[in-house]
Amino acid sequence: MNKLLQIKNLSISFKNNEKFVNAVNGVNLDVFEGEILALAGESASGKTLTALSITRLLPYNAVINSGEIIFNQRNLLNSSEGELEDIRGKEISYIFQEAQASLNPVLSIGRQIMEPIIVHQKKTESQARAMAVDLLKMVKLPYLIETFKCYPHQLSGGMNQRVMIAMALASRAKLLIADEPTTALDVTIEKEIIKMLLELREEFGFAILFITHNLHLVEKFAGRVAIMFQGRIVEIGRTSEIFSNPQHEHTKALIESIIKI
Amino acid sequence: MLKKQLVIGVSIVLILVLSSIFAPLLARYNPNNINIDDALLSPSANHFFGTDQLGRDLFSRMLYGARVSLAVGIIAVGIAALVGLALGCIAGFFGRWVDTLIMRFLDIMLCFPVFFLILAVISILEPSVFNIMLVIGLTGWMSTARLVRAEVLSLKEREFILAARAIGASNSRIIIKHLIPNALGPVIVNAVLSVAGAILLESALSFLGLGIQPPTASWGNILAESKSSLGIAWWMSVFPGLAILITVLSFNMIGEGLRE
Repeated sequence: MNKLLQIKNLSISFKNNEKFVNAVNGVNLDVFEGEILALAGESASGKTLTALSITRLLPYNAVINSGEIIFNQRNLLNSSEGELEDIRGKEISYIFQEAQASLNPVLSIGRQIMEPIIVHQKKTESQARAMAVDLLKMVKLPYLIETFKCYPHQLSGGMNQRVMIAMALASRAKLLIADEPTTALDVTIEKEIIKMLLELREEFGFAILFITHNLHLVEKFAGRVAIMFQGRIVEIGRTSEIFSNPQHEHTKALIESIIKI
Repeated sequence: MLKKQLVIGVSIVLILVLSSIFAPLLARYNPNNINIDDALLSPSANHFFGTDQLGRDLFSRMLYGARVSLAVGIIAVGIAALVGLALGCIAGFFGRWVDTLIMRFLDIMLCFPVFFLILAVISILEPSVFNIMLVIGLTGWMSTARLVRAEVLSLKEREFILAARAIGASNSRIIIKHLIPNALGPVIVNAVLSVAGAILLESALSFLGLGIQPPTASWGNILAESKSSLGIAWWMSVFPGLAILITVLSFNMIGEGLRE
């Protein structure tokens, strides 16, 4: 398998009143084409920050101190903002935790699904509309035409998350970064969403970088897993190996925490 | 109760707008037609609002004056809202030195007594309708800009803006497609409330002779012309005064109603 994305020695810190607080320390991570890699760890372990840094979507007070992020033989950390805009949503897409909060409250769902199509593909209004309807079908949203005109607050969390997935896949991204995509959903919807993601991956062959604190999901769904703790990756390997033979104390603690539930 | 307020305000403004649009049909006299024989007639069936010192029909002049006063009010506020929206968005979105620059400029603008600034500018430029709109507009954007900046500051931290960036939308696209539609509500309310202020400002300028120049009628300069006959012709000051009062009141009612 070829490497799709390489993160080398990435360090990020927050600048707070002239003081720097390290949040990510020397992270090395490779994502292979078409694989599902889980990045697991507790809150504030730096997983989201690592994910956002891939296309430099960091908050304004976060600073990348060192490292390289190689995608398509290019170091994204040296790329211009314009080049990154071409990659975001086209080759690397994101799904976030709170789907409802991630959708613009004053634009209709249809309008928002058309957005990535209009941004990245030179399409007319009606072509984009037709493609958006296809995308809605792809994520199995019922009542197509009605849904098209709905606003995010009229849909359930699960439906909104489907909309987000439709938007993320609008341009057939090669890498889908899913940042806790099901944390805000209840378990039955969670299962449906995960199942759909797997089916879509079968169809389009994108890789998933799956960020989560839920090791139960990781065990079922990821090919490889990286465990993150206090800004470092403490353990990485095949999911089955990590689960059967965890090396690091923190990994053991995380795995024990599922069994207790 | 508030809905009632909105309905009353909108209907009065609608009547005013329609009557100023159809002024040529409603007016029975040419508003600028001088007829000394009919000077200072009190209100009657022939002249609903009476006539002025030059024998011009006051009702006709009020109708044509409504065109000028409403147009100045609405367009001036439109200019102010656009400038405020643009500067507020840029300041709020880009932050740092851009924000500092725009907000300090705004503070400087707020330091000027606006009315005297307008007087000074108008006395240099010629007081045409267009210049008056422009000057009122360009001195009235500050409150909108502050409002929009505050709104943008909180909106840009929201998740959907991050999501829009993650889609690959450029800064300008995020501002135009995602921020402005979300910030528009308070801007509209503020604009409607400011229309009243702009109409008053134009009337005050015309009253001082630096606004709309005679013979073109505006409510302010009809009022100004009534000064000399205040004792003998009450109708010359009462009707334009009432018109201004009612218009300002109804725009305020719309604004208050929309705010809810």
